[in-house]
Amino acid sequence: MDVMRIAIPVYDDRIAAVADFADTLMLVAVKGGKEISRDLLLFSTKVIPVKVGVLSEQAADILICGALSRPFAAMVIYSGIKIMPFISGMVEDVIEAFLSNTLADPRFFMPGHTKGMHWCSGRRCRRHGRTQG
Amino acid sequence: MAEDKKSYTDLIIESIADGIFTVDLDWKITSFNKAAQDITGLVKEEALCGTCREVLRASCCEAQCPLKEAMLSGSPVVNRIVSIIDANGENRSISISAAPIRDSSGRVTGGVETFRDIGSIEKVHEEIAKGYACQDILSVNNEMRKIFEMLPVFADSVSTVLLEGETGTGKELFARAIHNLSPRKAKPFITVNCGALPDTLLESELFGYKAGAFTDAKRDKPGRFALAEGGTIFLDEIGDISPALQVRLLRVLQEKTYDPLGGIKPVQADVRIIVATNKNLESLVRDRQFRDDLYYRLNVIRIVIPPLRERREDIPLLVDHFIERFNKIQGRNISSISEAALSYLTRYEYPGNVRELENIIERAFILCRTSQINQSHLPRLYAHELSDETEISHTGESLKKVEAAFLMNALKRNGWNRAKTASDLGIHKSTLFRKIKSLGLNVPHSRK
Repeated sequence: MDVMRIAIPVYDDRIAAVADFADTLMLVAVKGGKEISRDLLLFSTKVIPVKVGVLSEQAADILICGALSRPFAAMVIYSGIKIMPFISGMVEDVIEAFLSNTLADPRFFMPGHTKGMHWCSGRRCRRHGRTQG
Repeated sequence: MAEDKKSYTDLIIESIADGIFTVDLDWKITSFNKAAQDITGLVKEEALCGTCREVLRASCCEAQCPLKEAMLSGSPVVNRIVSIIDANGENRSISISAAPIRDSSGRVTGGVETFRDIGSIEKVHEEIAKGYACQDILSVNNEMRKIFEMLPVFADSVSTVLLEGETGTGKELFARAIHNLSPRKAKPFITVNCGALPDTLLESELFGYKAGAFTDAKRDKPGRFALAEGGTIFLDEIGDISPALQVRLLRVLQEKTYDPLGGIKPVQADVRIIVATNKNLESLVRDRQFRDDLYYRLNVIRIVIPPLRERREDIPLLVDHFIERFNKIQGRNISSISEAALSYLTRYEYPGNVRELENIIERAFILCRTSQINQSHLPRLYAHELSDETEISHTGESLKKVEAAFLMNALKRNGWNRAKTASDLGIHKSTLFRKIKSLGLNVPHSRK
């Protein structure tokens, strides 16, 4: 069974409000729907491609985060990493919700979640939803 | 009477051009005016559901919250410049002020924050840098990432930087990024294209002149070095300057002084120098066209920017970026590019690099009258400049197939060695493994 690596920019015990400005990254390894390890990493660089590089280096499969800028979102998606943006709440609650498949509960949504998801997933649609032409 | 006063106050708050919101002691937003909605991109109803950090999304929210500071100290915080990410994912600069709110007994019951948009970073840079900002350097390439990782270190240093790269690779973007990350960021960033001016003009342009230095010199004119004082000067196409000017530049680097034309005493220069060239300076030195002492002075920090053909994985990312950019600039709504058009673009060699790709997309915007760019909107790219490694035709193939063929070619070329292939492609090993897995490639064992 494959190990899934979840990356979460955090501040103290919460999801960081903006991934671009987050200083700490939590990495959670999950296997068979259970958490098997957890690490904290420095994520303080101001240079977005370096932040994305950290995610790639750590072989993150999915990024769960708060708000983020368009360039950051684009580079994460093009690095082959899935993204669940505009999430807020306590880290423990969010991880638990992710593992139990209930992260779509609106209590985890940041204000403006729908608008954010629109441009964030719009880009993804563009990449994966092209038609022949 | 009290009701009237409240609605009057509300009216004033709504009509103020600065964003204003208030919070209670739990940081929940309790009011949010129209300007705040315009700046953050969130409507009032959305904002009233959240805390201030979720709504404002500023760089200071977590560790240096001005509201928290004002509420704890009881004193206002004034005009702090921070970045926010608005609801559309744009990075904007705002100026924030914060103050505590007290009840009639003087107890702090919440806080008020006012903020002013000092322009989206994109807008500011469009004005001062022809549309380019640090955030515009988009790449998922491994070689590029190594450069990005070093940028803050280079920015902190005072040493001269030599940027080498083909035309259109974005050397000026890197120069600007180094300046923006450096302690000199609040001071000027001055660009000079050394190849665009004749020698005599370049000298007066760089160092300025004094009144009477020549017939038409009626008054003193400061040069670009003087304009860049305290900041950074970016000398593009440095390989094109004459031997005479090379000597003068060497003096600036060695002694940190220069003489304006017609001046009688040297002027001190506190300027960081970044130079760029699309030529091979080393071979110019060998051919005695460039002074070796100047070359060694310039070659303290050397950054070589890879051409686009060596980082093809960035092409889809850049195409999307340019589509978004031109949509915004031209008020269009093109949503995508077809698979065939993209696979065609990924096979081109790009002698003009990222700038050429940008021009191709700009041209496509002129021709495209639908919501999707397809191959008929692209120029005919010369066959010899199309990569012939893949045998896939550029029509009717899915991106996945092109990507798979491209990876198999690269793996074959590197003896099926995955680490070597990842390094050859400039991507991380784990990215290659992920791609092999997602594309379902059957890769033979590597040759020993």
